[in-house]
Amino acid sequence: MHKNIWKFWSLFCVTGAVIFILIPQIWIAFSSLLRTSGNFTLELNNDKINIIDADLEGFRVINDNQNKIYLLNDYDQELVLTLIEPGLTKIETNIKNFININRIGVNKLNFNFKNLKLRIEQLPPSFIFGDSDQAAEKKLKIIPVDDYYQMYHLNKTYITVVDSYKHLSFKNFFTVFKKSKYLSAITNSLIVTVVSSIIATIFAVPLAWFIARYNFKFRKGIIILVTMASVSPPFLGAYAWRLMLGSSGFITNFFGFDFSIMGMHGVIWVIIWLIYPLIFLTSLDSFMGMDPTLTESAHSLGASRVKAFLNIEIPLAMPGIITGLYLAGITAFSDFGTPMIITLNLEMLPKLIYQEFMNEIGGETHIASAGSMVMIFISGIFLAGQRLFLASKSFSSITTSKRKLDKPNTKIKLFIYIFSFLILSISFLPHIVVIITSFFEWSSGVVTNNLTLVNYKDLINTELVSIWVSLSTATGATILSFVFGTTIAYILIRKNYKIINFILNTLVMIPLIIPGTVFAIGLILVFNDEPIVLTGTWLILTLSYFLRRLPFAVKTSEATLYQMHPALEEAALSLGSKPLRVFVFITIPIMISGAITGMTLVFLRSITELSSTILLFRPPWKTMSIVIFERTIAPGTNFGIAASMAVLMMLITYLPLYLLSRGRNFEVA
Amino acid sequence: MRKIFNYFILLLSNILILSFISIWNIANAGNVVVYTASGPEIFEPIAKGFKSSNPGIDLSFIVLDTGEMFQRVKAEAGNPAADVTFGGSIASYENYSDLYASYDSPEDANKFSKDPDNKWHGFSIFAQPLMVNTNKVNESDYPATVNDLLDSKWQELGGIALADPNKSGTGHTIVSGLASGLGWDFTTDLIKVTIVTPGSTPMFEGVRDGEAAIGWVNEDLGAKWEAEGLPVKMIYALDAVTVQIDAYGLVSGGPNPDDAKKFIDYLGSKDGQKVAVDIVKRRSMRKDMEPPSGLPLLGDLPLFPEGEPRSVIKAKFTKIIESK
Repeated sequence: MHKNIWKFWSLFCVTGAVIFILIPQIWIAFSSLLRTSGNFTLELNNDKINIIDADLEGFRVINDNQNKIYLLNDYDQELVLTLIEPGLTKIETNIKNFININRIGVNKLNFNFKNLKLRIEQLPPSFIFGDSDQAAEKKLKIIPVDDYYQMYHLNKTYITVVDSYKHLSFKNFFTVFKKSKYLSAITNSLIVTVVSSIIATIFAVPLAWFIARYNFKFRKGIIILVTMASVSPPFLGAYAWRLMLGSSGFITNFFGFDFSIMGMHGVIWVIIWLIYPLIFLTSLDSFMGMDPTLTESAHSLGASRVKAFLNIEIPLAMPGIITGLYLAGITAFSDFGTPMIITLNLEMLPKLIYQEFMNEIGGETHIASAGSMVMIFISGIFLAGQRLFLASKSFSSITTSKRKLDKPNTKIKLFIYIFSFLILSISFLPHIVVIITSFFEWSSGVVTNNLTLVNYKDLINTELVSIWVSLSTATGATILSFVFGTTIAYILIRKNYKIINFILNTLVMIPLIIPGTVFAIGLILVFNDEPIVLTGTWLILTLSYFLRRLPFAVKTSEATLYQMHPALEEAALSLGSKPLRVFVFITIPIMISGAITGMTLVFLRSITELSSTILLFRPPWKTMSIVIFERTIAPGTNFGIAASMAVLMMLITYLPLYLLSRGRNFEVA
Repeated sequence: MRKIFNYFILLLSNILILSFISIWNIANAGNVVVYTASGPEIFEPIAKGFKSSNPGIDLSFIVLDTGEMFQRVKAEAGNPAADVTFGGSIASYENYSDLYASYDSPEDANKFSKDPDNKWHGFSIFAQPLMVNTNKVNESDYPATVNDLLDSKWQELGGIALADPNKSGTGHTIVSGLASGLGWDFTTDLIKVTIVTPGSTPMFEGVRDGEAAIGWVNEDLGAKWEAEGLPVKMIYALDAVTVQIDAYGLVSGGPNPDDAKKFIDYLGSKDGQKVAVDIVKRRSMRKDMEPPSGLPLLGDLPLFPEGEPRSVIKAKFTKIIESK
């Protein structure tokens, strides 16, 4: 029974992952393969009928005489339209299995066959200038007569015909790669991801190394501050940078620069500061958990400091660095808030997919699904690369002695101080800007020069509930992440379930690469109907946060576990301890450092999450980030309340973080 | 161990407080949920006005981008959470008409345009004049007509911002109106020299912040910004000006249709429309109300409505952009 407890648990996790992670994505995949046969638009001008070339999809015009149009689609369905007299068109077709004609409005109807569902709509004379009575005059009508159909319509109008019958097809993917905006979106996203990840690593890893190795006065403070820097309430980091460095930003105006942060360089800049804490924290854990004896042996054998650093310490810390790099890269790849604010028209993949879904003019859901599949594919390649790299090496050590911290000499101490100060001051610039602007009066979307507390007063009067919603959902998600994060990491690394592990690993990583909005839509569509209705509840928000952050929790637990040799557990087992006991009393305490990093990030990220929350919430479950978002997007809005809510959010997230860091010992195991 | 204990206490207290709040909220029946594309500066005065004549009904507003608003109603079609959507152009309501219930509001008879299917109800009508950034453009360079925008000087001054009709109802109105008024040849040339923005808000803010020299704006927003002293100026072109009607609708299958209908009636009534005119500064849809002060009379402007249907404008625009 005890031997099977892990097997049982892993099966349980796999089932949960399949239901909550896999099935929604399968829906998206299926949706990406659905395609309608096409659409066309006719222009009717009394005694002339024309097909509009620009708005023709799927159907081909075989023959176009003065008043007769032959149309054929990919599925051999043929339509012949003949204008008999102004207001009357004859429709002939080879399609069998006519079902019915279903009126859905004065100017709209559905013309249904078994394999073709046409929605036909005529454009009435303008509602603004025409008489509303005139619109009702000539209703759109289709009447079956013998072996053809008669369509009655306005004399001068446009008639759009759209097929909504879905066929299975791969053509959506061709569209994704053919349309230039998708190609440039993919390219831009990749460039931003790679460049920002590399640059962030260049300063995050050395900083982590210095902090792991040396002891000095503000050491703990720096670690806490970097963790805090990764919490930027959504959109606000980007908006704050734009306030500072946009065309009419504070700094740009003050110095008279002819420069704007808008553009790809701006996106890269903002994202660097968003992701470097991830790389820092995971590298820090790796450096701190490294066995010092290896380095000491190298030194005693005559290796120079630098040589030891490059040949021993960096390779040993690889799990942490690579993990951090992967997490940072994926965050950069999937972020859409930053490009929305920092560019006018730069195409980026998550933003494009989000907009295709959200298109108010009848979104290209199936194309967006295909685009989502492409994103998943690219991210899958990143994941495979990471796994391959780490699996081919062995990183663990037998002892658990942590390194002792050195006292740095003055030169090094100064260097560390300046380096950290530079990094931290840039990280916190947006936060400071937001805090300052929260004390100024806003009017019609621009900040005035009047100092005031009205933003805070309004906040307390109207949006207090959202604070409780944010806290409770984030806490619930964090607890779930801890339980499942540590246990799944343990299964993946210690247990040899070939098939289960493979499935589990892939499934658990999936949420990381799905843009939050796509993830939310998947959840809504699966859980909006019987048998399980979760939409609009507290639970679906918590679930979404937990599932989306589970990969973080698992990866950070894994990084720590990689460095712990199984011999420790085997020793305990051979002394008679049951597997569960071994896990709780030996494995978990050793994993705690990595697990806590993971949990902290889960909590912080859940509080500030926006992209899936936007779709999943319903009153009264409105979160703090939604309040901030509502107050930021509308052009004429009062941004002041968003700023004050953001300040409150910073306070609320920094407090538990501070308590946590106080209890946590950063020096010795 | 203490850390875990602390977490537990946090969670417990949250759950307790949460249950209290949710019970308290559920006790509030008579609630109408409104999804809106308008900001708080528009719906807060409306909510206040409605509350004073209908004290027993609570309104909850959720603010969303126009596109998201309709997509969300579509995704929720099996179990809608919203009673009413407020904001969005007529064309969008036509596009999503399946999601709305037909309701013949008595107030609609007083409007100068109404939906024969009674699914959308016009709230206000507003024009999209040109807007320049006064820091980037001197008064001597102000355009008199849309035709003037073809002058190459605009690229040096900072560029012309135009919202993508594929993503914005406002963008569609502008392109469609310009095409029907000034022809597709001109409009094609114009589109080729614009900076296309992924929505109307980036277009407005782009000009305001100086990221572009000129663009179009909804006149009520432009008027507010001018009054605030922002570096913008609206210009009603002498050759073509477009107009939009924004509307509201009753969601089919919503939770509280009876109270929602009262809200719909209120929005069309003189009181509700008065809010539109006085506070929001938009022209009323009612035949018996004066336009807001400061805006030119619609009758004096060369107005051009949308000519071709949405799908045609989208397709033509995309073709032009891709051939740039």
